[in-house]
Amino acid sequence: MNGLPLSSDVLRGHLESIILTLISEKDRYGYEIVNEIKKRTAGDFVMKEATLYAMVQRLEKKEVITSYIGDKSHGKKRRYYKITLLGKAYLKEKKAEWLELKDIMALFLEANHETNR
Amino acid sequence: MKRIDKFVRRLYKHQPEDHESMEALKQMLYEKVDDLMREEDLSEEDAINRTIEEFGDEKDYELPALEKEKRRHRRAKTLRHYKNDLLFSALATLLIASIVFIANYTLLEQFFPWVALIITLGVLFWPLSILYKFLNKKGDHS
Repeated sequence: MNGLPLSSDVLRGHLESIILTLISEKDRYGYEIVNEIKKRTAGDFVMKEATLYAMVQRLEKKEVITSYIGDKSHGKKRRYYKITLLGKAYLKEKKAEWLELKDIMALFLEANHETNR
Repeated sequence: MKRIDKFVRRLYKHQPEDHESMEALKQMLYEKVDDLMREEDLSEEDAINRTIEEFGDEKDYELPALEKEKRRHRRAKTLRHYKNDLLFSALATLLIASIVFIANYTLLEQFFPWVALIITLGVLFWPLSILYKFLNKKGDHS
C-alpha cells in the first residue's frame, strides 16, 4: 500500500470484523490485538486505540466474544478474548457483507466508464 | 499504575458506577504498559506515558452506555437553557406590553387600543416561538 496512512474513519465500520478475525485465529489480549493490526498493516492504518478498546468491550457485551484470565509465558496475568459460537456466525455474515460491498465499490470506482473519455 | 487508574476514572466521570467496563479497560492498559516495559525496555513511567498518549482522544472511546449518559446530560442542559429563555422572554414581553399601554394612555390624548394590541401580539411571538422549541425538545425522546 502506498500514500497516506488511512484514517480510522474509513476503516471504522470494518474494525469490528478485523478484531473478530484476529480473535478467531487465536485467543488474544487487548494490546496484542492493537499490536497485531499495527504489524500487519505496517503503519498504513493509523488506529485510534481508544476506539479499539471500546469496540472490544462492545463486542463482549454483544456476546460475540468472551474473556478469561490467563497466564502469559513471562509476565503478569492477561485477560484473553475468545470468539464465541455466535461470534463465528457473525463474522461469517460480516465477511459475506464485505465481499458484496467490495464488488459494488469496484463496479463504480474501478470500472473504466465512458465518463472517462 | 496509579496514573492509569486516575486516567480511567476521569474517562468514566459520567458513569462511575460501570465498574465492570472500567476494570476491563484498566486491565487492557496495564497489559500494554507491561508489554512496553518488557519488549521495548521502557521504564514504567515512560511506558505509562506512551500508553496514555497512544490511547488518543477520549471522545473516541465510545461506549454505548457512556454515549447515552452524555446525551442525557446535554439534553438536560438544553432544556434548562430553554426554560431560562422562556422566562426571560415572557417577562420582557410583559414589560414591553405594559410600557406600550401606559405610554398610549398617558402620552396621547386619544387611546389607540389597536396599535397597542398589535405591538403586544408581535412581541408575544418571541416567547411563543421559544415555548414551541422547548416543547418540541421535551417531546423528542430519541
